This record gives sequence, C-alpha cells and structure tokens, in this order.
Amino acid sequence: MTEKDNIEALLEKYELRHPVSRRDRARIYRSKKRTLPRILREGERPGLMLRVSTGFYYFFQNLRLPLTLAQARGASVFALAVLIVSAAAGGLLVGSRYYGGGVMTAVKTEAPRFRVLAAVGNVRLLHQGRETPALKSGDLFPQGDTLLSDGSGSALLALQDGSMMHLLPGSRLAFGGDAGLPSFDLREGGVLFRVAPLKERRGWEVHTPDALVRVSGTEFGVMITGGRTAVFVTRGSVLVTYRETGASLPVPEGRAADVTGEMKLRELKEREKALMKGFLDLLPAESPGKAGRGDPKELTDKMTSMLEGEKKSTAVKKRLTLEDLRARYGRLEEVYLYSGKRYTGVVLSNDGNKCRILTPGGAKTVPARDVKNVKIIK
Amino acid sequence: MKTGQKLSDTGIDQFVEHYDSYYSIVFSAVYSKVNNYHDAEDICQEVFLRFYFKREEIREPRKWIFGCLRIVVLDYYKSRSRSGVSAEELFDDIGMGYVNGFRDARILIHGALEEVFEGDEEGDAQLFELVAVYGYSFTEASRHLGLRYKQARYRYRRAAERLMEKLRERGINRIEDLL
Repeated sequence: MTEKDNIEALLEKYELRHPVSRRDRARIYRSKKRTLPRILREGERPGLMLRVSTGFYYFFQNLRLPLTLAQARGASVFALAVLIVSAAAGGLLVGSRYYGGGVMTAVKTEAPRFRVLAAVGNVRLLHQGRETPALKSGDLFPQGDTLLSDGSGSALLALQDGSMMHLLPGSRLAFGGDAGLPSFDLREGGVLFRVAPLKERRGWEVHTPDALVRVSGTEFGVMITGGRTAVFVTRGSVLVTYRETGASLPVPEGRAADVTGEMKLRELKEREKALMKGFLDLLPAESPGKAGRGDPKELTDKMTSMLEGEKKSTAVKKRLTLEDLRARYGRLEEVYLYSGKRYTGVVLSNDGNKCRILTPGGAKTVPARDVKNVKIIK
Repeated sequence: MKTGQKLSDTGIDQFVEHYDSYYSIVFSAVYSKVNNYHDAEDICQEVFLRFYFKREEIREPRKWIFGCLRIVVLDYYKSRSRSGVSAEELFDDIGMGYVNGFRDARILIHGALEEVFEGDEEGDAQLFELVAVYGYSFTEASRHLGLRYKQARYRYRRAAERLMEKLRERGINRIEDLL
C-alpha cells in the first residue's frame, strides 16, 4: 500500500473520510465558477461583463496561466471586441449576399474570366495596354482586358459558370463589370453569347457605342455594322436600350432589332441565323457547364469551316472598301513589293516569314522578304 | 464602484484566492452532509458572501469560514423549519468539526489533522483535504485549486509528511499501527 492508500484507509476506518462522487465533484467546480460573479455582485444577478470576466479567469486558470480578475477582464473585453467585429463582418457579408450587395459575392465567387476553348486566325488580348501574341486554346480572358480579332480571327470562349461566347472576325470587345454583373463593351465587329442561367450573377450587359443590351440567361448575338448595332435573339429575351433616346425594346426569342431611333422588331436575317446556328453547333447541347471539355482541335476545325462559309457569303454580299478598312482599323497602308506590285489596305500581321494584308479584294499573304516598304496613308 | 475598478482592487484578488482555495472544500463538506446539491450551493454562497463583506477584517480565513459555515447551516435549517436536524450531527466530522473532538484514536488523528490544516502556510492542506478526505483525484484537485498536476502531488506529499510528524508527536510512529 502506498502512503496515500494508508492515509485514506486510516481516515476511512475512523469515519473521517467523506468521498464525493466524481459527478458531484464536477458539479462543484461548475458551481464554484457560477457563484463567484454572484458574490462579487454582492448577491445580485451578475452582469454579462462580470460573468465573462470570471469565465476567462477560470479558463486561464485551467491553462495554468494564473491571471488576476482585472487581467481576465481585460482579456474578456478584447475577446468581446473581436467577437463583435467578427459578428458584424459576418453579418455584413451574409447581408450583402442576400440583399444585393457585392461584398459576399466578391469573397465567395472567383473573379470571372473566360477561357479560350478554340481560336482561329489572329485573336489577341489587349492586357494593360499591351497586345499579347495570338491566343490559343487554354488562354484566359480576364475582366479588365480587351479581346481583338482581325478579319480572319475568331475565338470560342467559356466562362466558369458555363456561359459561352463566340467572338466574330474583326471585333474588339472589352470585358468589365464585376463578378455579379459581367459587362462587355463591343466597339466593333460582333459577338454571340449563350448565357448560363443566373445563380450568383445579377445580370449580363453588353454595351456598344449606341446601345445597351441587358440579358438574363439566353442565346443572342450583337453585331455592329456601319456604326449601327443589331441584336438578334434565338433563345430567351434581351432588353435593348438606345443610348441617344433612352428608349428600350425587349427583344424576344426568334426576333432581332436594329438599334435606331425607331427601335422596331424584325425577323432574323439569314446571316444572323447562320451565325447563331454555327455558334450553337460548336457547343454541346444543353450542357453549358461541360462546354469547356470539348476537343480543341475539333472545335478549331468546326470554327474554320464556319468562318470559310461566312467569308464566302460575305464576299458575295459585300466587299470591303478602303473606307471600311480605315473605319475598322483606324489606318490604311500601302505595301510595296520588290516585284513592283503594290497593295493598299491594312497589314494584319508580319511575323518575319509571311506578311498578311487585308485589302478590299480580300486578305493577301505574301512572303515577308518580298516586302520592300510599307507606307502609312493618313 | 464600477466592475472594472472593483476587480482591480487588491482586496478582491486576495478574496478570490481564498475563495478558490476553500470553495470546493466547503461545498464538499456541506454536500457530504446535507446531500442536496442546491442546498449546499446556497449555503456556500451565503458563507462566501459574508466572507466577502468582512474580507478586510479577517485574519484567519479557514477558521472564520468554518465558523461561519456552522452558523449559516444552522440558520439555513432553522429558516426551512427542518426539525430533527442536530447541529452536533451536522458538524461531527473532520471537514467542519473544528471545535468538536473525538475519542481515542479518532481524537488523536483529528487533532493531528487540525494542526496540519491550521499550521499550513503554503496551501498544502486544502489539496490534502480534497484528496484524502473528499476523494478527489490529483487531477481534479489541481483543477479546483488552479495547480499543476506535479504541484498537487508534491503538496500532498508535504502535507502527508506533516501529518506523520504530528502523529509521531502523539506517539504513533506508523499508520499501519492504527489500521
């Protein structure tokens, strides 16, 4: 027997030992913690601060960090302040999530960015004032950047939520807004969208020089031709606002509108139908979320054939004039070859190997070494 | 006085120190007798409330607390008209019986324990009392008194050695002789 056992046996024998059960020992400790603030309040019901202070006092005592009650009170004031700030911040975040603010969305939702699924021809990104090399499958198009495509360039892109976008040749599109309300600024060319149903987003906007197009889950296209915006819808509806007058027109499924002072609905033109059909053919049916998993090569081939078909039909209908080229690219150039030949138009690219020139007669490609001089016509 | 100022008072720190040392012992002592948790809690609260009001005048806290406990328990039972409750019965134990004695060996042991408890300046006696008399484990006792486990064991050993000294002074050299 140990000394402890001996002592206990001795007290037991002479009835001097009164063991308290394990459960009651724990209750006594709880009672001790509960009673102290009541005594310090001289028998009255203790206030919250006193209860928290004594709670902290025993908490630190359990950690074997003896504090005085005054120190425990300091710790509890600090902890309460942290708690209040955290609760306020949490409330703000939750409130903004449910009552339309953007804070929660910004925290919870990843910043939206498009991923290039397939790109054909020369499609570049204008990032912080600098042009990147031609985009390829897998590249990103984040908010704040601008997408540029020349006369032969086109790209299919997908947003995280499954929304899809097809940038048409000769376009310039800036991507802005915020996570909840993506907005696009189309300066020239055209873009086709399939917008996934709203979840985190509050909307989807496309700005053009003369119109504002508001969307909430639909398939539609926006094109600028001759400085005028045309909107065509194949699914859902959009609201088009003419900037000059502020007049708005809802454009329902299967209808189109040219943004002018009159703002009338019309049928879709053959070209618009063909564009939308070509775009939707690129996408897996009814599974926007899986669109990004398409085979890039297959998509590129489809897009190339679509563009060729588009080029042919456009060539039949309309030839670009030098004025069109100047309006679209802001410049005109004369390219002199050593052979004495001369092209007037716009140099789309010159990689040192081949020089691609867009002229009213179509795009020409000449070996770069044959180019003698390029002169800019003001 | 505001709570913040009150808690900064050094007298309060001293009171809390005594409260932490004696609350569990007093509660265990009352509870082991009255066998009612809520009654024991009310009695304890009353004792320490009186102690709180008198804290600046009290020189020997242990004696004062157990003396007060006796009065409070009697008052408590009188106010509840519990007939048949005898003060002698209630206080006839080591936990509360400071003035009561026992015969023969029990008197010897009780006297030795009293001297250990009263002569204690290091706070070893409270730990010893919780473990030896009320059956607390070292872990529980150290938690109740805000000590580390090793400190609790060490203090118990010191108090036990002092008890042995006191018993030897009374002619008892081995505990086994009394068992």
